[in-house]
Amino acid sequence: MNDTTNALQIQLRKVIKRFKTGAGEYIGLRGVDVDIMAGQFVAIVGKSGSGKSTLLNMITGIDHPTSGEVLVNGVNIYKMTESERSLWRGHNLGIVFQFFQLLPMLTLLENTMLPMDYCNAFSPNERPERAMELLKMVGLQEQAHKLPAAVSSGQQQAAAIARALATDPPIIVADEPTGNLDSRSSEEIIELFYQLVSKGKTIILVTHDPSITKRTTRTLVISDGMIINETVAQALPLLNHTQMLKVTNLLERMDIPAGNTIIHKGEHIDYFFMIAQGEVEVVLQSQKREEVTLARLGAGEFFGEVELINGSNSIASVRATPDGPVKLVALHRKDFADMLVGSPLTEESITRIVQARLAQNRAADRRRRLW
Amino acid sequence: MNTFLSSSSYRPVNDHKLLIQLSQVVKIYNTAAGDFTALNGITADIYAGEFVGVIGKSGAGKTTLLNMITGADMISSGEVIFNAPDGKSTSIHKLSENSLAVWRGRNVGIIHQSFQLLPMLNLVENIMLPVDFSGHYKRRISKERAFELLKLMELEGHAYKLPAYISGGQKQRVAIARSLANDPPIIVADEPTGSLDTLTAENIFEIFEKLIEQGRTIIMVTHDNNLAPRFTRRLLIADGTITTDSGFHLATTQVER
Repeated sequence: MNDTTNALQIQLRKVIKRFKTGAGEYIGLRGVDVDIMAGQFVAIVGKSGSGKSTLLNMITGIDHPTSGEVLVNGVNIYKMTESERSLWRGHNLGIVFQFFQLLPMLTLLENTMLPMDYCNAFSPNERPERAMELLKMVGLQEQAHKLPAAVSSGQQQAAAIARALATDPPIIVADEPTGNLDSRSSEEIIELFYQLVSKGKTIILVTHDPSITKRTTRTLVISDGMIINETVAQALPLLNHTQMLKVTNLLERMDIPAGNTIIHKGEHIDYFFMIAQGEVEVVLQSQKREEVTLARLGAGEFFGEVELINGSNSIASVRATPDGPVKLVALHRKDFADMLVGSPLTEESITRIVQARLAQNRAADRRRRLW
Repeated sequence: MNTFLSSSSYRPVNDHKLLIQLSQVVKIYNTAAGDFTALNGITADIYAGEFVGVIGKSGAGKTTLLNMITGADMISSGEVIFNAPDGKSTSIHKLSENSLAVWRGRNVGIIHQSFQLLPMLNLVENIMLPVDFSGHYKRRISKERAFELLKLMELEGHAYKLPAYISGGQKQRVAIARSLANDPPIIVADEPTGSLDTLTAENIFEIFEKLIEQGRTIIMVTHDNNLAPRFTRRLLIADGTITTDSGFHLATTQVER
């Protein structure tokens, strides 16, 4: 699951979705840009009404964006006719729903065969066998000939996953797939998803369930129809979603080539830096001009906070490692201060990190003087 | 909604025939924690044209009872007999799996609380989905029939929409249309108004009442006691037994029993 080697599979470009309601217009998505790579396991989280399901419906083509583009494997899915899209969907997407949506009059096996029949995928003789294999994979071989009403909710959802896999689509999309299950059944369903990801499927799911987000490779947090910068969500988890969104809208982006210095020791600092991609090293120079690396920091970590909080100049140099370029998102000193005022929990946690880093720095400094 | 009458071979009936006989129905589930008796000897006669409310709390055995009537789940002991309008009687749990599927496809329409529509298919396609595989797609209905059913539910203007674009009440009407596809004499509905607001629920209930007027038989499960007066027959169920059976009587008809 090395993202850098995987191909870009899903692109949302400036997607806006407006709904007209009796009470006037309502904006579901306010210009969403997202790239999803093949093989990623992505959770979309957010409060009820934040736009999670709307975002998912833009990817499945179940709903249309008001403006913007959605490309899946390079294909603009909203340039197709409804029936072309329906066929495209059948071959490219497996969809799993909170309430399973199995047809009550069909057995689990027949339900699993349905997408193959509908899309004319696999030869008619192969279909029952393939359906049975998929049911076996999700642990339902014994239940294959039962109707949905005769099995448990967890088993119904497992059958819905088997059905989603019927045409062997590269992408599986799920809307609250464990929302109607007890915790044990949820665990089993999550395990199934995890296995599918390890086999190379891309999985995108909307969820409230923290036991899912623990296992995904990526979490997209959506608030008020906008996606919170993932680095912000990772680096500042104690902010609430509204605060994260505010920070997202204030960010400045910086690209640093491999080996380049970002801040020099002794310099005045105006930014709080969060690492979006790549690694930086924090270095001190000894009196003999030898370098001591204090720390290496990676994606989701930050620097610059010591200086901003203490009002001091830089206590060390920070540079991109020679291994590769670094992408940073930076928050201006004033916005950083506002953020801390708004979130005492974040301030407390950052203050603790400042103290630890200062102690580390003093220790290194003492060693440095001995040389 | 006079179109209701034209869509079906059923007519308001005066001679209410015995349609379903439940006799000492027992359902025991073997669980890891031991045996669990979900139904403990249910006996009831259901007549054609009845609007039966199966009322009880969660876990009382309501859905299990429906599953016994549709043959969705196996019976542990006892019998469910279906008397066809042509006079032929079938003990449905004695049928082979395939024959049971055929019987169900012809005689039963099923409606769920959560609609169970395929969100990637439009409304016509949802209605046209095969209701029974055992007939090798022969039972897949025509587009004309699907449109006729949509019209009945006053949804013909939405025919090519995906379910995501219509309201919960409209989705349930599509599910009702689908359940009527093969013109079955029996409709079973498991909490069909459970996820709808009061006004929409009322609309669904009125559709059921029309179907009853038209001569169909509906067996509906609900936990909502307030709905009780609306049924022509009430089966109150608790701990797997019928505690009260209001009995068969339709004010408007004379019945010979």
